[in-house]
Amino acid sequence: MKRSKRHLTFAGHLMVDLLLFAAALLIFAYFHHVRPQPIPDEGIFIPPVIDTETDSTNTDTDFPTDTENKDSSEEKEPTWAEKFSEKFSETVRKTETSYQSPNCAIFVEKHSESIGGSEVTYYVADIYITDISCFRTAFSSSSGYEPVLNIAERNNAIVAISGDYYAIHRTTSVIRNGRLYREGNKGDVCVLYSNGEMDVIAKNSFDTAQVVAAGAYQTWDFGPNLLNNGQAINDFSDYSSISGRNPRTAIGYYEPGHYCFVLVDGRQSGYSSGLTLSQMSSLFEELGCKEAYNLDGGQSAVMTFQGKWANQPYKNGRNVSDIIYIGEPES
Amino acid sequence: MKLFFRILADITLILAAMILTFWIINLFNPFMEFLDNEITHGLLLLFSITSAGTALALLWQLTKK
Repeated sequence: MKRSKRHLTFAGHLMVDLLLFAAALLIFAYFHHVRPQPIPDEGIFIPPVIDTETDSTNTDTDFPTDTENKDSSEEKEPTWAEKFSEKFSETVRKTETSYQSPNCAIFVEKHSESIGGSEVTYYVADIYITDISCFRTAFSSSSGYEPVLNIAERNNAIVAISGDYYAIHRTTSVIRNGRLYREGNKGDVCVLYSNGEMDVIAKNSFDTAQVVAAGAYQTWDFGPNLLNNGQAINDFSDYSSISGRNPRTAIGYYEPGHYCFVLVDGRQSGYSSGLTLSQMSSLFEELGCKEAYNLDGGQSAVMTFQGKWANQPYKNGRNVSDIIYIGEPES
Repeated sequence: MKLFFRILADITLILAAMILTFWIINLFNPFMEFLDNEITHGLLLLFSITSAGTALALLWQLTKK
């Protein structure tokens, strides 16, 4: 009898420990990924680096450059507005799948095809801008994470996608809209510079001081890199845990002023099963991008266009900490 | 003293279960950084301290006789 009572006491004891364990996990979850991580104030301003040879946005002719003095007959690099002039319109023109204005042009295409023996639906937003300030990012409100659509609406985004979920990571680089918020490095880092160029820096090679000096305008630290000099990559062994078929968000770069957002739906039988990282890489090679970079996908994978979902998010998406979007230039 | 050691053992057990859980879910989703964050680092430190305390208490119990 005494032995049985002791046994019950031990079982009860374990039950109490189990309940405490569950409570501890809930507390951990709250502090780890439910409670919004504060971003320090305003960040540190990064002055844009003006390259007179490649900066297409600089139309100011008040101060002639050395190049102009040496040879006035030498052709000037066309501005982005001149280079992609046929894409823009004099007034704002909107359709279900396009948006054109004097400052930006966005064309969203839906593709449904069989890839690797499974049905896949993905969306490509082809983006042309006249000024780098059209290419922006935004954080969720300080009170908590939000759906992509809410952050997009608050910031008057024309097209928006989920970002790199910077808040869930403690050690990643965060440079947004020309301000340095956090130094660090976890994975491959995608850097968009103020001159419109985009580059993906391999993990552990990233140097915050170096990219700041080069005029970094945005960084995303998630990855992996999806192209090597425009060629598809097949080895994603460092990212094996996320390399399978999934809903995906990614960004592509053609040349300064021309980019694309790609959103792949997934985990929805009969509609779209998602893409592997290798298939995603091949897709960007087919699109003709020079650089491409994988962002936070899965349930976070959402694209909005003109105030509505452009895709069919898995389980209606989730609340996120940040978005990437295209908007009219800030006055 | 007995109550103190009992609580120490409970804390050790709970912390061990938590770290084991984080280790397993981290295998499936390392991007969530279940192991590589300041909270888990703190829990690991606490786990080390309580483990040492529990082990010392056990050794003391064994050698007392």
